[in-house]
Amino acid sequence: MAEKASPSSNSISLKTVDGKIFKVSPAIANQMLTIQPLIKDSDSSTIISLPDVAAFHLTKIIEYLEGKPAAAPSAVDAFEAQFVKDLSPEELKGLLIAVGYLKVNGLVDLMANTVAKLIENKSVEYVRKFFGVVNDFTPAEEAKCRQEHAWAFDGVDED
Amino acid sequence: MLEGPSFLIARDLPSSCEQETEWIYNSLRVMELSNNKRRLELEEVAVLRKSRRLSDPPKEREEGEPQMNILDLSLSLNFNQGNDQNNASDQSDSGGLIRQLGRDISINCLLRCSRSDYGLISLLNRSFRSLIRSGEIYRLRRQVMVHYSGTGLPVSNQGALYIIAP
Repeated sequence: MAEKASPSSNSISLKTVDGKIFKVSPAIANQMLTIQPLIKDSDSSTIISLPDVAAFHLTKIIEYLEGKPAAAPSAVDAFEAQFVKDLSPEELKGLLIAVGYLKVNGLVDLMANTVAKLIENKSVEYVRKFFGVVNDFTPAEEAKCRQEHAWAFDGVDED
Repeated sequence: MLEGPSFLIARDLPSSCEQETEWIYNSLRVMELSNNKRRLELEEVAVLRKSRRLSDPPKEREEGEPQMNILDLSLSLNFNQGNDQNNASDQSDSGGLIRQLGRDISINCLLRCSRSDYGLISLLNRSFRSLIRSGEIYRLRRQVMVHYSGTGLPVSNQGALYIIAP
């Protein structure tokens, strides 16, 4: 299994948790800061295994890195808006994890901003669930806190 | 006669146990199997974390079996830095993919919310509340704003965000 990679010109092989192998150019791989230090020592037979990244997410990441226009900021904005447009909250979350883990240039900011927009006007319960935050308030504390911030909960969206 | 088998078991058990705990608790593991590759920064972090967590001296790395040229970068996203000590909590992961956002990532997102959402953030739990009450979030926020200007907020507005008292 290990040596499947055919020795094509110095591409980097990345293996996802679901066993798919992606070949990317060093220029692309270099933008994933987590694997950057490994690239120098890699050759075409090296497979970098990424147990926390699924194929779907890596596909999106590569799509972003390859597709991002180098030129005008407006073009970048349009590209990024398009990129996140069709992602469901679950996909967004998975991608955010993958991107945070790989430390992908530019994408960390994009994903964080997108998630920030997503949780705007959401209920506390929704946000807790989304981030996996455990509520450690006592009911009394929470009630008090809610009172203090009552103004913030007018017009909250439905989950 | 009897000693033989029991001796074997005694030798076998510890090492298999070690491996298991390693797999369960390791937060970041880089297996470098081709001989003398330079020790990565990542690996040092792994060792640090591991020793902190297991209070176990970082052990022999050379026990790794000769799988050729596979760099295994596994990082369990466990960012409960707010409450480091009780890390023994449930670490249910499904096939290596941990479906929970870490604290760092969560904060990174929340920083970018508009200030009117801070009431909500402070209600998430105690550690988020203290993040807001202590004003730490404003400091972090400023950092993000400096590094990143694409928040969709007009730059001239950003100063105003810090003036309003919590």
